[in-house]
Amino acid sequence: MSRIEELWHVPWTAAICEVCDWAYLIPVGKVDAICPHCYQDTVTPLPEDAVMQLAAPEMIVPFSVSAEKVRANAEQFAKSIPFRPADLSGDTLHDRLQPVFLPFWLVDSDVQAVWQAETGFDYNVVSHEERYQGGRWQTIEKQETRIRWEPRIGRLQRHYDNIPAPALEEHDHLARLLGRYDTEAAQTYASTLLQEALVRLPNRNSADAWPDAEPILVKRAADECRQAAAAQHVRQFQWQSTYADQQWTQMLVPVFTSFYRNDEGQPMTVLFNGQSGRISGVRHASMQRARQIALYAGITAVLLFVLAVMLLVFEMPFAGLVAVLAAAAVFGAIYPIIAVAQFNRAQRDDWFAMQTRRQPE
Amino acid sequence: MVMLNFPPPGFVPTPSQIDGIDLFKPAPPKEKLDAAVNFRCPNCDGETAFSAADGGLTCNYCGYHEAPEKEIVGKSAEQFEFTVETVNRAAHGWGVTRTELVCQTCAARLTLPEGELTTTCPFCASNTVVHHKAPQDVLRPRFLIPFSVDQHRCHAIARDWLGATWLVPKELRRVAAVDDFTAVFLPFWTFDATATAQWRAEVGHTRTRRDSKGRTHTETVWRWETGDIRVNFDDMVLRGTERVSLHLLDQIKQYDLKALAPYEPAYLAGLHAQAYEIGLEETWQKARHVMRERTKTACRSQASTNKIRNFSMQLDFSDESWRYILLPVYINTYHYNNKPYQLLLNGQTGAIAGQRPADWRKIALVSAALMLPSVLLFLILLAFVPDVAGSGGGFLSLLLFIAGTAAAIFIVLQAQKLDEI
Repeated sequence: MSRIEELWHVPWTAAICEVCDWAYLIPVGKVDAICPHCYQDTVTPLPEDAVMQLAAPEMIVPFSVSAEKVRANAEQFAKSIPFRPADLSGDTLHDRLQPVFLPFWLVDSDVQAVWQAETGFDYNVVSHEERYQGGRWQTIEKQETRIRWEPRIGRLQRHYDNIPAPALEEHDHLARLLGRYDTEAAQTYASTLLQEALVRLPNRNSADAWPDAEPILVKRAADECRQAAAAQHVRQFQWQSTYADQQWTQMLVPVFTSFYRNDEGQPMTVLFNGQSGRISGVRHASMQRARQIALYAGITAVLLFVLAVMLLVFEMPFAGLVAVLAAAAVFGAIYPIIAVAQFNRAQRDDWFAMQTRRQPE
Repeated sequence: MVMLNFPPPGFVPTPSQIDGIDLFKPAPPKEKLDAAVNFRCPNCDGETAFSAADGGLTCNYCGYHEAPEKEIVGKSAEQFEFTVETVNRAAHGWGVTRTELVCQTCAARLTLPEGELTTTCPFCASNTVVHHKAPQDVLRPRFLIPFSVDQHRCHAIARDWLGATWLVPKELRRVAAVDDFTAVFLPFWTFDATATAQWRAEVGHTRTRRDSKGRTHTETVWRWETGDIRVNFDDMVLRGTERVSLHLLDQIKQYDLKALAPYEPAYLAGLHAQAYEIGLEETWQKARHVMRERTKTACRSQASTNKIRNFSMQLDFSDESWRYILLPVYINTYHYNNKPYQLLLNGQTGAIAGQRPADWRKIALVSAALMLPSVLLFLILLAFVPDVAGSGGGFLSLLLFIAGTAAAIFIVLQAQKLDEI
């Protein structure tokens, strides 16, 4: 039994995509599968000793978005692209869904600190508004909430659990694409929760992640100090702290990946938040389709122009109307090309697109 | 942040709602007012009293003098907001139950005239200043202006003032008993606020035009105008007592608030102090009335002319704050012809106001004297001039009569004001 199987209680192994460097845990039989990120057939086994964290995760946020919502969002995504590629439709995106879990670090720590802050207490004051009209005053009494700030200092000796920190170098970009996860819905790890999903392995070690975890820890501590003082607000929180007995574990959050192929047949990755259903990906309009439509419109324009000339030569009616229609057809021939070019330029050639198009060295 | 000594000086523990977190807050200022203060002379055990001359304490028996420890905070004296709690308490009549105090020396229970904060115990002669610990102490005075005019000066000021007009009896200055002025701290409220107002009105502009027949017509063209204004009110002083004539108080209440000092029992030693009778809410309502009228005047002054109609405005008060302060007043009541007359003297500036009896006999004589020349002239003219009405002398006599009558009326009105209260 492999170490992974022993810790995760599933017959899985580690693998890495040679094109995009995404490393996974995948079922042993699927090592030859295509990469769910860049959709290249370049997934190869990864030795266990190259895996940064072999231990099973502590928590899992399970897939909870409904199939209907995913399908509706996929349809919406496809419709939002003018002259969309032939391969792009709500159905194709939905049929190609691949569940994947992304990792977060969770750190537990004992903290000893001396702190100081300004704590704010709400209080209400009575104020007045006066209106003068028709020679009479009308007084309106109102209440305003103000904050009384008072200094507090203290000592803190607490244990903090599950402070999240990014476990992927591309965390910020992914967070921007996928939005927030409700980690309150996280469950204790059980192998059954993995279902058929692949598990992305961390590419960022805990030492690198600690500077991201510490501010969250400070914020949590500041909030506890506020509660300790029975205050409603806290500001200018400062502390001098020592940390001990830090434990690093993982939390997995759900993502669906899917793709469509552009004019050149390259896969364009689309991501779905497995909890909220939020969809994100490169929107690529099809220049091929635009050219086709432009060609038909152009031919129509030429035919109408010839007809208009003939009507004019033989002094027959409606020559002007046909000429206007010819001009409209010319516009119809130009518009798709310009629209597609502008749309594609407006789309940010983001990280995913770059990763997808990166060629193997 | 480095804290070698924890907690730092000036911080005290306070309960924490969470285990594992110790909490410290700044130590509250020492409550000097909760304890009774006994002003006994360390030499002879006699009573000491506040000395207006230098602000210290002086023994009435052996002359021992204790130097003052004056701290003047002036207009920077802390102000209080109209918190809901404060307003609710004010609405329930703070201060009205301050009638029973306990002597801290002999434990006698003293019933004081309602409103008094200080007294001398009639049993042990202790000059003890005692204070309630009741919740209404929230509204105890926090600041005061100490007396700076002493009793002896009061006497001189009063004598001069009584003799400062010929309308009073000549012997008044001599016979009026104005030696015994009682020093009293009277309650006042001060208010600060900012009024932000927007106004709208039709403003009339006069226009002159000529019609087809060349006649000139004047007409008013009305145009809508709007504006906004921000008026700051700083330390508006209103009285908190009903015992003293407002008419008299208004004449002496020009106090310099830069001399405000934090309330110290020593300032009240041997003196009387009155708690407020007119509450915070009622006085604040009066202050707001004054503030909004002044703001309205300021708004109207922004209009391009003073012809205004359909004036409306909206006013929003902000940064409202108040202080409950004690201001020094000397009170004296003297009798003349068995009738009492009241005198008030500003204990800070020496300004005096009060009632004085008028000498009506003297006033009648003077009035008659003023009219006499016109009457005499008229009689002479009657005797020697055949056509009195047509002569210049008759006209002169009439003029003298009118002038004399006007002067007499003026004098009588002035005399009537002398004992107004």
